[in-house]
Amino acid sequence: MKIAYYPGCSLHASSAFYDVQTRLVLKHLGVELQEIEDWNCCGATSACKTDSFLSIALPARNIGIADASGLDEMLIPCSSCYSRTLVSQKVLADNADLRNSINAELTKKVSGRVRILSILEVLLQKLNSNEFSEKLKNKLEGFKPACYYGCLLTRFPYDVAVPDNVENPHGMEIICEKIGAKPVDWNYKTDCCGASASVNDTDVALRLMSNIMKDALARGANCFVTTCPMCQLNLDAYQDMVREKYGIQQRLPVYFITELVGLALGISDRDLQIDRHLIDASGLLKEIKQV
Amino acid sequence: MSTKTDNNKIGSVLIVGGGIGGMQAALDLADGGYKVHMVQRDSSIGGIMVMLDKTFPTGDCSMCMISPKMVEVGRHLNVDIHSLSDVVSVSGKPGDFTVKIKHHPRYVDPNKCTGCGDCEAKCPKKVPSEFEQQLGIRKAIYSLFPQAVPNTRAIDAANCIYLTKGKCKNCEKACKANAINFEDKGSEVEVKVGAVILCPGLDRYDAKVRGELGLGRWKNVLSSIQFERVLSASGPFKGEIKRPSDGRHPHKVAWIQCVGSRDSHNANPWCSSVCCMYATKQAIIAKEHDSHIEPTVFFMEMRAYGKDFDKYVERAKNDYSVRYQRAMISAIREDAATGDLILRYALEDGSLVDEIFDMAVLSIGLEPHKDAPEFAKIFGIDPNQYNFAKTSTLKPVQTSREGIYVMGAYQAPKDIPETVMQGSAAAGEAMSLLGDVRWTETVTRQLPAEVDVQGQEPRIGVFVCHCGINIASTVDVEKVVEAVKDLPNVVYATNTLYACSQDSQEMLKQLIKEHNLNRIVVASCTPRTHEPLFQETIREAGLNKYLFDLADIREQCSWCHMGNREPATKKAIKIAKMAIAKARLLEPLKSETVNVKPVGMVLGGGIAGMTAALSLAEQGYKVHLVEREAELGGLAKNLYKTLEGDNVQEFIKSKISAVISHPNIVVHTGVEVKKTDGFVGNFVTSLSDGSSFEHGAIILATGGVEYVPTEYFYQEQENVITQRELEKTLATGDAPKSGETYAMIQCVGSREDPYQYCSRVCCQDAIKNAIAIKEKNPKAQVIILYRDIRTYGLREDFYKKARDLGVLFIRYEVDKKPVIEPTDNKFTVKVWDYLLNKEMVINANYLVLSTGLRPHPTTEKVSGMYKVTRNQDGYFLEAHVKLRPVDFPSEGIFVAGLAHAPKNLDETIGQALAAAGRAGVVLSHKQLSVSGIIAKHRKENCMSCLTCMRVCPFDSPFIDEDGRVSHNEIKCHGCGICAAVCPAKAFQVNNFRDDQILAMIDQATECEPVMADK
Repeated sequence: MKIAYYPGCSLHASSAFYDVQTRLVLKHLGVELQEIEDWNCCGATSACKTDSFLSIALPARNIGIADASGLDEMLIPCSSCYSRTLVSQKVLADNADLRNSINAELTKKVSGRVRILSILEVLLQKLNSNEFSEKLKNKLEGFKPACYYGCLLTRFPYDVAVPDNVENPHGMEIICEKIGAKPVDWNYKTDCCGASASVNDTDVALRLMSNIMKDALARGANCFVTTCPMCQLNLDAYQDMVREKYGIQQRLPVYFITELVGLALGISDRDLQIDRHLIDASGLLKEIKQV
Repeated sequence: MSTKTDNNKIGSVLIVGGGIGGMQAALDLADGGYKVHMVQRDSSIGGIMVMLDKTFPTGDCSMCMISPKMVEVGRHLNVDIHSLSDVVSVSGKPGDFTVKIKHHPRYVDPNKCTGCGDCEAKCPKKVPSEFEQQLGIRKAIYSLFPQAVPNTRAIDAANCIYLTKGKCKNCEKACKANAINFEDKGSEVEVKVGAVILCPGLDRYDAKVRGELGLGRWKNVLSSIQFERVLSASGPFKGEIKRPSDGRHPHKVAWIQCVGSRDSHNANPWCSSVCCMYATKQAIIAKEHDSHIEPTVFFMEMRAYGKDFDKYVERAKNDYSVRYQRAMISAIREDAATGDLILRYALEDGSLVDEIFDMAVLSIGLEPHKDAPEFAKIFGIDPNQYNFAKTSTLKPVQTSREGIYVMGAYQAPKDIPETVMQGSAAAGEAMSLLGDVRWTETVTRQLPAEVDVQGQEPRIGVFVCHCGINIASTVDVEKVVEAVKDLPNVVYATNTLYACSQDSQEMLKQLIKEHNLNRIVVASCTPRTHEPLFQETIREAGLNKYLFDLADIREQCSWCHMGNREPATKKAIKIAKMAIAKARLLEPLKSETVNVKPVGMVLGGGIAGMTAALSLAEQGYKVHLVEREAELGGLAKNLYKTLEGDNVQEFIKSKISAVISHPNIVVHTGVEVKKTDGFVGNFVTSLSDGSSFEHGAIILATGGVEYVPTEYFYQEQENVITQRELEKTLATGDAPKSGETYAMIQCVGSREDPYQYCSRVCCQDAIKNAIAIKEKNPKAQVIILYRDIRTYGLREDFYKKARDLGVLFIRYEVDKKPVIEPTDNKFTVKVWDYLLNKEMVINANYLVLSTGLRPHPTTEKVSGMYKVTRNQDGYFLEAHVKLRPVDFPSEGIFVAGLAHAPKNLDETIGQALAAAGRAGVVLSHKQLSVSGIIAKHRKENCMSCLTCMRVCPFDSPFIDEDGRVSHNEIKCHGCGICAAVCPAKAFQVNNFRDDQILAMIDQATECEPVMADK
């Protein structure tokens, strides 16, 4: 099975290990990723807030490239890129004038052929296959993750079809349970962590993260698991500041879903680059004897 | 006109759905001469109403109201209930349909099952109860609820251990009646009917879609229907209000409105019509159960549009301290440690609040059944865009297929009284279709002549029932027989496993003949459900049915004294002895009959009156239509279009000509009623023109008038107009000009003292006119100043349409009304905007007042003439606000239209059809029989003190020609109030005579003989 792959800027820079894990895990599951050629930034951080035309046009170019690739599906692991690209595709489907005017400038035209998938959708597709059961090496007992979807994965600024419950999604829990972890139910699954505010309005970001930390701890979670590189980095990099400011004793490692699935598939922590976390993520593995 | 030449019509009706609406239609039709087939998918009839604890605004117990109705339907000779069944196909034409019905397997033989429940006790499989909304459990063999009709148990095959795993059969072992049949495969039957009535009811919105509200996630978040079960005394918590998470009594409880309603994105776009009021009711009842509870209702708009609803909400605020907070809840979070709920909402000024509650109730909305599209296909009817059955404003219960009618929540979301009303309306329509085949499919019981027992010594037979183990496990039944068998006059006494089973009934008849018994006492269960059965049985044996008494040793003894065998047995003996003491004094009673004049009189020639008259005329009765104005038409003459776009003027014209040309209708215009004498079936009315006529039923449709405002410069300044005047201009005058501004003010003369009620039609009127302005000229501006927009039900679509067209809505509070300053031909309207927190100043060209409705000035006089009461606001008061919405307590008199309460055109038409249906039932009988249980008046004892006349709710005592009090037994209901208050003991109620009651009391207070075994 071969699908198109749009890593986006985060996975090529600050969250490069998410890119590594994604490729490794999916390769293990028999999914071949074909990174689309000559892709550009989707515009999530700045264009979408400042220029409504660019917010559609930037992802449109990537969609055109993917459509031209001849593949039916495209994985976008980053929640932010996923959201912007999905919205752009739907807006262009709904608005022929805009589609025509953008296509006029593109070498590879948007046709609307490619189906855009999040990492959860790809993993969930594989979850019930024989391949998955056969390759499942470890039961991740002892993991009690708070599944953290963040504000982008299920909630869109435009009316797109959402493949999960918008305010109480379950996809990540289903995956976690399948690999033997015991996810907790908690309040802040889809709340904002303040990633976009952490540089210019740190106090707000710290307050939002403190809500998330406190509830996860109160529910007995021993880690977070997420799909969003922005959330992952934010909770990782600012966690000690949050803890200090709000008097929280414990630390909580922040895993990507690909890390947990990778461990369950028997991929080594070294290959998964689990040492790349700012909040130590290896300690918990030792504690619950996963390494 | 009438197509009643077709003699191939069939005098039976299929009713699909056994909720309260279907039951009403079934009883109307079966009482009115039609055979009824009722198809119900559940194992019992009852629908949603049986799940409710209480009903608003009277706080009556829901089950207590509906249970006798269910029993009536269940026992009706001309109603066949097909429970656990579905309709597979319908073919044929109006008057002659062939219907295939699939009976799903029940695995219990209804002819053998006595409903004792022994099987249920022994069934090991526990299943979350649908009836208790998953808060309680049932067994795999079950009845939906204790009062189920039919009360035959059913096995739920998906959960039955034997049917899934091949062993168990505990129920079969427990059943002493041999009623279990694991081989049941179900069956298919075919019935012929003349008409079909659809009332499959509703589904509730699945609030789990709104994940942010935490239903199914946080234990202390309940749906409103779950909370009904929490409140119910027979529910999973026995009426104690507890938090599911920890059993603690909650303090702060929140209700969240519009969950699943008025939201086209995540839910349904329509307003569910009932939630504002049921939340208010739940808040009040919760407070009554536990005074520590502090209820808060979070709402968008308070839609208390019904009769006396606003008063109810005011009472909730003032007497029960219910807090109403205008806000939408964006999230419910749970505190991990305590289970408390944190509700997030924004105040009108935009500030965010996190408030902690102990419990939250989601007011979930109503929607059509999930399988409604398939259902519509089976019956060949058109659904509307939301999969409700498609109807029109002018034909509210008629589907797209002739001869198939619809009512209740499948037509549109609605409350109980509107459903009941539509039930009678659909029945009325079916009667119009099948007017000439009444009594063709019905059966009557053939009975032997009554044995004359006058002057005979009482020969009493006593039957003591085990009720399986229901009675026998607590009461020593044999000992009861032993204790009574040698009492004076007791000729025969025995015990029986189930007194109510078919073979016991046969045995009873046999023993009556064998031992020449002339009084029967059965010691078993409640007379509510079983007395009529035994009465029928002894009547079949030739005894007068009143020579019977029932001693309740189950509900009043074994069930409440479980585990106390000896005292319970003593008590059972005492109860039986009391019944025997009374039985000695029982006498046969005659049921009087009166002839019925098959003629109706309709008072009022508006839409309600004309609709009712036409329906009765189509049913085949002669009708006198009396209108005081010179011409027919009433208030609707000023209407041009309905909100939905129907042409009202044309509609009225066609109605008037139909009425005038109908051979069965005599129109009396320009006259008033001078006097009506008589009683149900036999009224005589004389008119002001000197004419008079006899008739059997009366429909009061005296209508209403529009309030003429004295505020906002009406009739002082030009361009201050009412909605009605605007409607006329829009229909007949020039189009609105670009740039012109229409400022509309709602609730003028409504919802404030002294008129504390909502006029119900004004929001629709304003939105209708606003849309018309915008459609004629989008550049004209419309601003509606409102208190709450009450576009209930599917009318919500038009509210949205108006907003989409650019109509502006600004809310005002009653203590901060808009202030108007006229400035040459224009107005400055100043109004406080609560969202902006600023005063808005609007320059308007027209000021349009949404004026309320008032009862017609003649209502008072009519109320006196027919002795029918009115509510505080002057509208006629129906016999029961929930279940008898078109009846009066006095038999044979019905109400329809604005005379009853403000309502929209479709509702007026529906109620008029309902009144005609109800009146048609009365007129369908050649004779009416009166119950034997009535008060007897002994003139020789009477002092004519008039006490009885003041207290009788049915107006049966009257001043006779001799100037003294007499008593009209035809009107009497046997309630006994007169007998209780009469200082001279001139009134005695048959079968509850003083000597009978005294004999029972003497027996009860007799010094206890020392029991032999002590």
